[in-house]
Amino acid sequence: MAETPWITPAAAIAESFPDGLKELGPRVQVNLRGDVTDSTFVNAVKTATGLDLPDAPNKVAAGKECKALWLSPDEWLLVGEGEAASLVQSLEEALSGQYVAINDVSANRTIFEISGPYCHQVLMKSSEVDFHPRAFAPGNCVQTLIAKSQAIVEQVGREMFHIYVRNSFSRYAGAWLAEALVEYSETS
Amino acid sequence: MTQAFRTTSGGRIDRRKAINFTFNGQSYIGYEGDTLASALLANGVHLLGRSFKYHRPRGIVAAGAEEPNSMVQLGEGATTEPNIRATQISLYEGLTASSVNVWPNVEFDISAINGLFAKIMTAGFYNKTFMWPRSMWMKLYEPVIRRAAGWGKAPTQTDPDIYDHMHLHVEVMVVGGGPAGLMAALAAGRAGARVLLVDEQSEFGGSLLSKKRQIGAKDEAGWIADMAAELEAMPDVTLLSRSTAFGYYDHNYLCVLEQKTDHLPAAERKGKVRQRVWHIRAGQVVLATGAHERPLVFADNDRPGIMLAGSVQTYVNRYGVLPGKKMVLFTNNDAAYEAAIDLQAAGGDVVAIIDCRHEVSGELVDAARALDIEILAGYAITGTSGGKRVESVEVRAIQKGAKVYTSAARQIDCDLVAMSGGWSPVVHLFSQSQGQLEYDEEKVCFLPGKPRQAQQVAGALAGQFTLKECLAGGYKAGADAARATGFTPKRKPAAPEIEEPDLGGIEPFWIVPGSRPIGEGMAKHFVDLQNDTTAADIELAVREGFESVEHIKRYTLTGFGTDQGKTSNINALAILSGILDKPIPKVGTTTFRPPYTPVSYGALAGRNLGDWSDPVRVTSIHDWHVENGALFENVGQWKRPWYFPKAGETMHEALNRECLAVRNAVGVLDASTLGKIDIRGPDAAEFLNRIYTNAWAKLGIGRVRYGLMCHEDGMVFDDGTTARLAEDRFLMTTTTGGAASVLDWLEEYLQTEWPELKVYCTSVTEQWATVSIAGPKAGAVLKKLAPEMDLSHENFPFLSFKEGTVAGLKARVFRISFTGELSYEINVPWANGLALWEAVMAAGAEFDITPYGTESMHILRAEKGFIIVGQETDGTTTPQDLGMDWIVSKKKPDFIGKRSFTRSDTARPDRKQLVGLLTETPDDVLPEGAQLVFDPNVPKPIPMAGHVTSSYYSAALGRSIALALVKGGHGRKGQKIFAPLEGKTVTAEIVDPVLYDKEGERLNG
Amino acid sequence: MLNIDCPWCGKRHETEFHYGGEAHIARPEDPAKLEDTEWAEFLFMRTNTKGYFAERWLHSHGCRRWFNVIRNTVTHDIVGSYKMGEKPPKLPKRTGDAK
Repeated sequence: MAETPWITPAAAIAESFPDGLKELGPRVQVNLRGDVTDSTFVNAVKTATGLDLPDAPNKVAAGKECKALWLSPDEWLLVGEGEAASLVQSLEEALSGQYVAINDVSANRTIFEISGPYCHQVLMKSSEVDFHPRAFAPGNCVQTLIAKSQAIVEQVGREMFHIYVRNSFSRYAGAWLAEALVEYSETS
Repeated sequence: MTQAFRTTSGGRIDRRKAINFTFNGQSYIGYEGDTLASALLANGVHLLGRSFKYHRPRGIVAAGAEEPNSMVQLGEGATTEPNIRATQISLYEGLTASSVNVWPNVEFDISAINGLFAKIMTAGFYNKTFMWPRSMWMKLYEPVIRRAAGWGKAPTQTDPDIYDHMHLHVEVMVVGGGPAGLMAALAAGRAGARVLLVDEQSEFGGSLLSKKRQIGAKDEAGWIADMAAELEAMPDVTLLSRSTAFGYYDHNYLCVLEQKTDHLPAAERKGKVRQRVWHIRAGQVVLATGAHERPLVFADNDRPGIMLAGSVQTYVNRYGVLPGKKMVLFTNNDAAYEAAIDLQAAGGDVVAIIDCRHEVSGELVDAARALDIEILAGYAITGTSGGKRVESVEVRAIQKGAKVYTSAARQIDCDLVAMSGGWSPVVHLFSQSQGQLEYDEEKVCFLPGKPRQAQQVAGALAGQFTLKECLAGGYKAGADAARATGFTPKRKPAAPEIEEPDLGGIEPFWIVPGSRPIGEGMAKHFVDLQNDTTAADIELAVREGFESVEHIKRYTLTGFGTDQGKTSNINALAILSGILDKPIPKVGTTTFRPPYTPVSYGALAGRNLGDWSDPVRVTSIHDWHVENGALFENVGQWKRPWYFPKAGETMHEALNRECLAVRNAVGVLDASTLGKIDIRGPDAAEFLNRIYTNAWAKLGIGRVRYGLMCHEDGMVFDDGTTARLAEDRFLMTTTTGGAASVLDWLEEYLQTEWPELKVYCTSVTEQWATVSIAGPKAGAVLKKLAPEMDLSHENFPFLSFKEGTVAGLKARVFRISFTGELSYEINVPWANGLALWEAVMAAGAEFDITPYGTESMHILRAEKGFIIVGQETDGTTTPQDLGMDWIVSKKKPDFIGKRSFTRSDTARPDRKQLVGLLTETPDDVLPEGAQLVFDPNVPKPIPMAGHVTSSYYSAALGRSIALALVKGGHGRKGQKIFAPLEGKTVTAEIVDPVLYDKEGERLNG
Repeated sequence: MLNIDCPWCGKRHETEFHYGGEAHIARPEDPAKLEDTEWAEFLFMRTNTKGYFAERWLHSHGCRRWFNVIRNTVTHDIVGSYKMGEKPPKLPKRTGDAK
């Protein structure tokens, strides 16, 4: 299959993003639904991906090739590098016959990375959720609103967050995040 | 003569930093640390404006947020702001301000003539006078009175300033940075809680900024500095000065307005956030909002130069300003004596203290006597004189316990009257948080009762009026708040030695009669200075039958406006209590509402302006549309191309061209915005059977079906096509605007009504970009892009889909049609949308492929009589109303909406039903929304027969077409119907809604 | 701005949720068997409680779970949240009819 450019609406403005904000390239994203209390399901996912699916809300479980973000009691977003099709296929094979849903959603959302000393301030301007280190830490994720756009926020480092935004909102959300950083870019 | 009223030393101003400013066109000099009010007083300016109703000269009364009078127009041009209190404006270089509510100017104000008619301008005057005749309201009363009564001018240009919002979660929020608030923040901070301390003033310290006190080894300034330093060193303590907590909402949610640059000269503000609204969620809130001093209500108590005693003290001690050089103090309490003592110490002259109590004694009284100040105990001010500034007061002895004068009047010359009627705790935020107030007879004020939210109170708000009480009470409140949020407070520090005079007692004295009974003669006893409400107005309101404090408030306007009765509420209800002969607690208070002080619209909007008012959603092909001249339509939050005009083309011409291209060759539409939901699980087909009105069990894999969804009431709420991907898997499409609500709807039924169904729903709307090609040449275009795909009608029939490669991209192609033409919807991963679109444009070039927008799509579907949910439906439309009985299963035992179809109302024959309309004159395009009647010639009001839901000019038919909902429309085909429009009545014939290609032959190209 | 306790995600601001009306109104098993008045009762009639009230909320911008909340319609106090199918928590004695 021919290589095609990966163009999200945010790409057009990403070049002018201030330090501390960038749009990441495409990642494998697969939405998985199933019954986490059913060991057949959990074991099959482990076999296919090496992941222990997090059953605690708003946690991220890291594996070798991908990680799993808790989205709801029966829903996870698997995120990794490589080929979505092969991840989908190995999940489909391992979970064949089970009551599950597996969807390649790699194109559904784009990912912004905010980093540096002001990332908490940016989040305070953009979200009503408490991201203070006392309440939120690397390995946590949350589905919430960034400005008025639905988003998944994952903390990946002490001063680094990934913000997953549905593509149609990405220009709005990207511009919003960039603007939120301006105040600090000029003083630093 | 500059700053003639500045003291020689002292105050928290920086005398090395002179600041130039302009007021009413006149240049003045003040110092850094001044407010506009203190700088004006330093220059001897008392007259700041005119009163609301009577246009009486008014001056500065207070020193902070409680100031009722001195509102000014600040700045010029786009950044001008009306009605800002001079007492809350930090002075900055180049400040310009002017009086409001004056015309032509503050010295000579023409409307002051209102004062002569004061007799008739009593409570309810506006309501009584300007209601009738009604026709005069818009012509005369409204414009003229608005101009005369207007306060300030709203800017006419766009606000260039930057505002934003920030969200903060803390365990303990402390409101008020006075001694109690500082101690509370310290206790909570030392315990390890996340703490926010906010204070409206430019620096922390609260009442201590106005008083001289020794606290342990430090004076008040040193103590404040130590406290602030320790708090600043705590990493999880946030300190915000110039920040007003203006609203206290449910579950300890508070809003704070931080004024970040308002104190800076214009040049230093550029590019910075001017104001920030903080949204706080707090585990515990400590309210330490202090107290406001009450004026005394006496005859003509509103002249410039009549001020609150505590504010006089503030101007003297904090700003180094003598508000007057010959002062009379009028009080009912000891504490106010301190103002006299401090003014005298600063070089002013206190000519008399008028104390309405008969027995006066105590530390402060003795101190005043020691300064040889004359104290007239058992006396009251019964009148004042002076034009634009108070010049003298008239005092008389009063009989104890009765308001009878026992002496002749004595004139005392003065240029300043300090008054104190006691202190009212600032209960506004406490009240907003739903806490109930309790009246304290001894302290003569309302105090917070039991809080309704997770909250502590401390300091003067809690009736702790001495510094010693404040420090102890503040620490306790902070420690309690920390403990309640899971922290262990540190041991309480030893109480410092505090030098503080005994503040003595108070006797209520709510109203001071003048030389004549209240309401007689020209003298006025003002209760609410901002709204010009007098004691006589309250009496009149009671005489006219009002008793409830809430009614009195509305009738007399007391407590209204930007002031919200900070100085007037308690006096008003105490006076009311006297008139009604009911104890004060029985009269009750009015409701305190946010905002505590005014907040600009800019601050409330924050960054949610313009393009950010609502998120703009765009497809991956959006920029192509922009570059190719598309005009856009908002559909939900989406921007969709409306149509693509070519240079010089009118809308009508563009639409005709786009529609004819689809009918005669091929058109292309960006359909990426449609909602897409993956539905999977062993019970998926059963689930669709219950959700849609038609049957789904037998739909073959690879096939597509159109479906309608209804709510339980039988009304249509969404439609779309759904494809069967596998035995247990479907892909549902929804309307563009309905995607989120449909997914919520599906989840609701799966989670709440039918948890036994094994079905998962996953939104994949933005996984797929969708390019729809339609027209007789659509097949030829697709063939070029997907040469290996079998497009024969046998192997790729209408209402089916195929997976394959299109333009080198992995794709899913649906053969469905919303135009009635041969049509393919090609889906590729979202970020490949533009690549697909460009490939389609290139492949279609030889057929003159034409991009079209939503307007042409609407015309094309209307020609076919296809509905649009939300246009042909409005939440009261059933499938049967739409003539879509064919899609309502008779066999399924149950589905959502079914039971309601047989309700008497949904089954009645005269419901509004969908029909087509053809106007008698083919060029007449009816306006959408036009009301329809069966007979335009009957007397008005004419019974309505229905309305036009869609209306266009159809190029394919060479005439106008319309869809309409008409009462009993299905049985009226062939009949005439009329649209009475402005200036003409259009006649139309009711016809079948399908107007083009009734046999559906064009679907196969 | 209510602070609503999602049984999965914990306390979040009201802006993340959608309101779902009165709780514990089950869709009738067999609507066809109902008289019009019975069906209308299900469709339209709600208790309009003053005081503690069981209501449904959807954590629409979070985990997309529906759940129930006991809220005082006068004071907005929330007593607790519980998952669909679970029993409601005990109501406080006080009706909470604050003035």
